[in-house]
Amino acid sequence: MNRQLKTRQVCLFAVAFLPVTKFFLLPSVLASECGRDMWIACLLDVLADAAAVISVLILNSLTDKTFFELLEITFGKTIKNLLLFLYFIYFFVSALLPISEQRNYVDHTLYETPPSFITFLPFFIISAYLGLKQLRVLGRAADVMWIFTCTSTVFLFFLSLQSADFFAIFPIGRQSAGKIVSAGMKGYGWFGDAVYLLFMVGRFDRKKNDGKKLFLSFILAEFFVLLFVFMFYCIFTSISWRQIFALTEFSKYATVINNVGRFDYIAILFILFVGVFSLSLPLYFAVTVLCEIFGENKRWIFSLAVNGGVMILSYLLDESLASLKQIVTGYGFWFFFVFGNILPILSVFLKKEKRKIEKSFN
Amino acid sequence: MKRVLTKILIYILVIVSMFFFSNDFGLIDIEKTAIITAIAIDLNGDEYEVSAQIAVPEANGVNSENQKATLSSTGKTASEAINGLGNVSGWYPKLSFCNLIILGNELVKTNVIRVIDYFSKSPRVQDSAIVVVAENTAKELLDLSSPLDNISSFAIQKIILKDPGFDRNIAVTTIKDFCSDYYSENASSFTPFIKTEKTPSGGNQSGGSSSGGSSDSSGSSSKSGSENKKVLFDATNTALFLDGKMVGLLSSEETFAYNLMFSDVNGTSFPLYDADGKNYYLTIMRANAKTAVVADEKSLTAEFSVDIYCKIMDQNADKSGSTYINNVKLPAAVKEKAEETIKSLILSLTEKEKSTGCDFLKIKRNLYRFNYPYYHSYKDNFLSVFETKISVNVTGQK
Repeated sequence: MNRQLKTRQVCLFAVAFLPVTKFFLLPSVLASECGRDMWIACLLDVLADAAAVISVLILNSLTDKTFFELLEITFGKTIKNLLLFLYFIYFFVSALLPISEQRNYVDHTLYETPPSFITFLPFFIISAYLGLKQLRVLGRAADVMWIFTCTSTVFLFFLSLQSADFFAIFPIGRQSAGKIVSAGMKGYGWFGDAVYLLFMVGRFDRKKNDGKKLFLSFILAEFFVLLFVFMFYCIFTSISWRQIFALTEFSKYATVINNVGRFDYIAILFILFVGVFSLSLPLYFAVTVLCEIFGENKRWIFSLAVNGGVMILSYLLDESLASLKQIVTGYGFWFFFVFGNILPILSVFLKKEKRKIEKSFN
Repeated sequence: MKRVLTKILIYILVIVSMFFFSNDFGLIDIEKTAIITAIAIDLNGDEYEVSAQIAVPEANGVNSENQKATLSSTGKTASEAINGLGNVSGWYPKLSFCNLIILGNELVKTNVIRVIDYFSKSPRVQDSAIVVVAENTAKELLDLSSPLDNISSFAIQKIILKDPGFDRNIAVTTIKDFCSDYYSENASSFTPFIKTEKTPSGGNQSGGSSSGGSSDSSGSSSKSGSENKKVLFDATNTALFLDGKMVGLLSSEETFAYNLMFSDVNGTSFPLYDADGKNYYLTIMRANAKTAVVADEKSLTAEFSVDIYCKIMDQNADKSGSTYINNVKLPAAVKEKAEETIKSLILSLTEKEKSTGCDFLKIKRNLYRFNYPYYHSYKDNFLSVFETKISVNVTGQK
């Protein structure tokens, strides 16, 4: 019943969905903090995620139970529900900035005139629809979407090679360690991907060497991001910090684009298409968490409430995107780091067997 | 089977809705749209005069020439002037197809980043658009016509943007490159400098004409008229910028040498006069150029080396052993003359760098990147202390 996904689908899930949301605002945030050393800051985030992924994979290799079951075995139902509710807040909040930034991107780069309210509405309809489905819907989507992510990313990288100044990252490490770590902290709001794997523990097949495949898939997804950040600085160098629509700008300096036209938009639109599913992930898991706390039979209510709530908030926060960014990249770091990284790392210590509860009546 | 069909239908629905919602509601009435192909910016007193060349689509099947109109508007900032274009015409200025920004001769005496920055930051304009400097006013350049194309901006783009294999004798810069150079350690950038030459048959021929605004915001438009002169554009000179102000000019030969050091020049040809008693025309088949900065406590050296494999395309010879396919060995005198010519051109570049202060040879940048421990020792006086080491090797068939 719990085995809703194949290992292959979890691998493709990582490759397809995890890099996409990091292609918009994240590179400029890192660049504004530590310039040419931004890739080192990104590497710190990737390493933090890798540690959490390893920990979750170890947990997965030691138990057949789901994360929810393990929480209940270890802490009991009340604490489990409390922790899950905190995770609901985590998912809800972590969805806000990526959705706002992608909406901002779509509004400003695909539209010549100010677009209407309705233009981004389909995203929330699709996200709410996904929220109604079981976990296998993400696996099936990943089966198709990974090819879009991989081909589009490689295509854009290939086009951008010509305009990249690879020596622009020199001298390496000129920024102080404090600044690089600070940049890594500011960028962490976009990471914490191990948490998705944590919520899939016990829900996918487990065979020999699956752990290695899963780890490599997550690393490949993060490698795409690291490469994107690296190329980003090599292309925009001293003006990287203000390139908030980098995805559109990335490949257009190629001679062939100048001569033929913007056919790179095919790849950009594919990435935006995959982005619909990537942005839906935190909302999907927020719905799943609510279902675990309050019961599966109300799933449609939770899906509507979560997606409707985020939609209203994202429109209300339209004029406060800069402040939202400041919160996520500022003191919001600890919140994201604890729930996206520390708790997944600590999850390996969850009790693996059902606790024998001895009732005592004193 | 039914489930597979349902899945396919859902995916198609999602994709179609994405395309549908992505731009249909953003359509602008084509009649109300001005597709701007180039923007010319001049400085008049303390106001910027922005002139936009607008491509006017006509489906009459009679005139095969591109039709154009030019609008002008003024403002205290570039964006104000551009919005003014819409106010005076009722057209929505669509800048997505604007591939050329022309800077006027008065504007380049001030810091041009004050206007270029807007184009770099605004998603309405492609920052891959080329930046050029006009010999006179930028607006004047827009008003001219060329035998290549009735629309001057298209003619300029034709001579600037070349596919691999054509002569790379123009130092091209985009808005993005100009801005990133400006904000880099050396604050030095460059653009092509556009000169005009009257065609032998020049005079009163058909072409576009326009008039610009003189007050706060005004403009007018006109289709191809009869009073415009046809000219040819020359972009082989290069304007040098330091801190956003134009500080010097590279000649055509110096621009060739600059491209030799910093661009892909494969397929570019150059003449060699009076070598071995004859005139030659050589084509570069391969050029490997390296620039390096070597610094220590006592000295700073800029090293330029270039290894060229070239082919004799033509010579004033009574007899020739070369064919289109078969290259021949370069005569010693030709090799010597070619090396000497290129060496003197590179030397001339270093002297231009010293005289203008514009670090277009990227010496300061390389000092920062690869010799950071000595950066602070030389960053303020590198122009006066750096020594030059030039090595040129020209070969033909080996």
